[in-house]
Amino acid sequence: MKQLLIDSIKVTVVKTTLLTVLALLSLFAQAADSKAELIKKGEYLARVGDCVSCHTVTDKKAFAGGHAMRTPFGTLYTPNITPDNQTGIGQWTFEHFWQALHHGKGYKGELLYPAFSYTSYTKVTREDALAIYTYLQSVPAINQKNRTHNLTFPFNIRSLLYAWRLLYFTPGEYQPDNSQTDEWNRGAYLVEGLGHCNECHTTRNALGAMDQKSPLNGGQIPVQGWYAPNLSTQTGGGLEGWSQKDVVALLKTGLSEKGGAIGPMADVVRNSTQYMTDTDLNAVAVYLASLPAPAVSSNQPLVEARDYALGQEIYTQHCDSCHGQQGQGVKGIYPVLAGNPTVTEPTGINAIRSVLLGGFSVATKGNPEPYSMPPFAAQLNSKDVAAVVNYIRQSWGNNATAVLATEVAKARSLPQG
Amino acid sequence: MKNQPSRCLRTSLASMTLFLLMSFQAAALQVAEAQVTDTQIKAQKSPPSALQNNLQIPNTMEQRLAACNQCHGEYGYGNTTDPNIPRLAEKPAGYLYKQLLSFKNGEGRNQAMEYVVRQLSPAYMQEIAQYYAAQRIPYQQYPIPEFAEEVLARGELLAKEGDPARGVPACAHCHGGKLTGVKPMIPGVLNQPYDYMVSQLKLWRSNKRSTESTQCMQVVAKRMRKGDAEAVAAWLAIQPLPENREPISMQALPEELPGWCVLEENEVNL
Ligand code: HEC
Ligand code: HEC
Repeated sequence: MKQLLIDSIKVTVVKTTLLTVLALLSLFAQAADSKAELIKKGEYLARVGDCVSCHTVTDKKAFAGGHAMRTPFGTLYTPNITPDNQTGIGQWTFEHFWQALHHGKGYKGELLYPAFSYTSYTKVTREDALAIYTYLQSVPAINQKNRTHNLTFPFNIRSLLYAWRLLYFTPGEYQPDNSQTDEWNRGAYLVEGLGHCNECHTTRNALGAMDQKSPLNGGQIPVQGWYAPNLSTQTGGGLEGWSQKDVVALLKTGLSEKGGAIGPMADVVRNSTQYMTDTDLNAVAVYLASLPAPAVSSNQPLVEARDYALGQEIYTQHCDSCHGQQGQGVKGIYPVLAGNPTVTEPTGINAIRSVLLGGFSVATKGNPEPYSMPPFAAQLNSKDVAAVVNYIRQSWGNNATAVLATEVAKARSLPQG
Repeated sequence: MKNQPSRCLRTSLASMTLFLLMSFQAAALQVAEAQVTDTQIKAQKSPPSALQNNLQIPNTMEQRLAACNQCHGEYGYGNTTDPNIPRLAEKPAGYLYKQLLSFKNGEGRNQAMEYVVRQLSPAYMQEIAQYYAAQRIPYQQYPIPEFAEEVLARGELLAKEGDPARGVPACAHCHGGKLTGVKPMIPGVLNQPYDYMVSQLKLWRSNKRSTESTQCMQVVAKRMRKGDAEAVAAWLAIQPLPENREPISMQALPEELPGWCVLEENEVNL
């Protein structure tokens, strides 16, 4: 009897131990599961935030930093954000990470230069930030020391940033606008926050701060020499006439029926937007459709091209076999030129550089073997480039200011990176 | 310290005013120029038209690679006027792909190349490499500067025998007995443009080419003596091509590569 009792107790003990172990195991498994989920979510969000574009030099060393960011104030080198303990962010807790992303402050509380887009990233929610942090802590650690910035006086004085921040930076997560749909709010969050589109597409003042009153009104990208057009799709906007489908196609494949991504935007499509879900891309398009067009037309008062006839001749000789006599392009292959914001943006720099550099549409899942345009830098002199640019800027309903041969000559020496 | 930002603001205001003034000036100039022909232009301009003439675009690599061929010639034949741009046709695919990868990784060898491969995917670059490797088209012979007999003789010696005293193996040791290349990683060196060949050997000597990849040519180029780059490039550039100019296979190389020359075939995966 006694033996039996002991036996049954033994059995129960074994059973409960087993059960507890099993329960614990499944808990761990769940934790591991949810951690894996979190990493996956973070990976997606890091894609949307395009961390990799700035924090990577070669594919072999993803996130190890060292990328040179040329600004009007000097060159900044991006830091290593792999989980390496000595040279990366291996020692960082989530709070350190939040401090950087949300408040623009480094590990020791030092003020960060706004070349790191915390002016936008501050809108990212804590929940999303945690996912990104968890993902970054999961990528391979790479030991690579950060390079010191090379800024000109007085911008090399970090404490100047106190003043700058006072004027131009307010930390704060994105606050949904309840009068708008969830989709619109998701779009606004992606465009103004994590996607930080406004960092390039908004006019900056001489101190590099964005015009807060008219976000996404179009902006010059300093030093690199490209123009990021106004993003309103309404009449008079930089993307006038773009449907939701066009916006999604551009972000997903690099090429839409209204134009293609070139220069820094091609990098963004390649590294970031082509990986976004259709739901998110549509949300972005819905948000852009709600942006008001600029009060004054984004096209400056028209200066007519004197060299239109020469431009037409060059166009017929070199361009119309691909872009068409009416600038209509070839769907899915060569971009349309009529109404294309790359052609008509106010400065003319994008068209000038396209003609000089040529190049490929972005290779994406939707357009894996893109066609290309030959570079004309060696073949055409600056006068001829200006003429053909003027021809495409002032034909087929395009109504943009003429450019000068001297602007073309200057553009030849811009960095190609 | 305190008044720094405002000083800064003031200077920037001043420079902005200057900038504005300058832009007005430029605009005024443009307007003045424009007035001359305004009416003529209006007459010439084609009105926006709904007409859509459908262009027939060939679905070929040749058409896709219009940008590359503008510089490298049709089918990668080589540039007929600029001897600094290399021929691509017939170079082994693994070798070409590795060069494209290193341009994409921004190793700093050539800005124009870095720009043009920037938006390509690894898969597409492999396809492009295979495309050029498969082209069989005639070679052109590029001119070389005038050299004394001894210089060309030195070039021939380096190509066929090397300079054992300086530890320089013959070019033929690695580039194949007939110097037509070894699949998949070593290109042929006959009939390449003289200027391009010299510039490459000099890039290796100054560590400006393939810093992260194979060290083979870096060692070879650094062990050569002054004037050797020109001598060997000149001799190679003007040799008649052998009947069979196919790159040979690694197994067909008579001798093993020197120990310091390690090819990264696996990484390239072609
Ligand atoms: C603006 C002219 C230009 C364009 C466009 C261009 N290349 Fe090049 N390419 C060059 C020059 C110049 C070099 C030689 C660089 C050097 O001196 O190291 C080169 C070198 C190369 C090499 C290395 C060849 C070797 O033997 O080592 C490859 C491969 C190559 N290009 C492929 C391409 C491909 C593929 C494209 C199109 C995607 C392309 N290039 C477009 C100018 C160009
Ligand atoms: C130890 C082996 C070895 C020897 C010896 C050698 N090469 Fe090379 N060579 C290579 C390899 C490997 C490459 C491919 C390099 C790369 O992948 O970047 C190469 C590439 C080249 C290239 C680049 C071709 C192009 O299209 O850009 C030139 C030029 C060249 N070699 C010239 C020479 C000359 C001249 C000699 C003799 C003086 C020589 N090589 C001897 C291994 C060798």
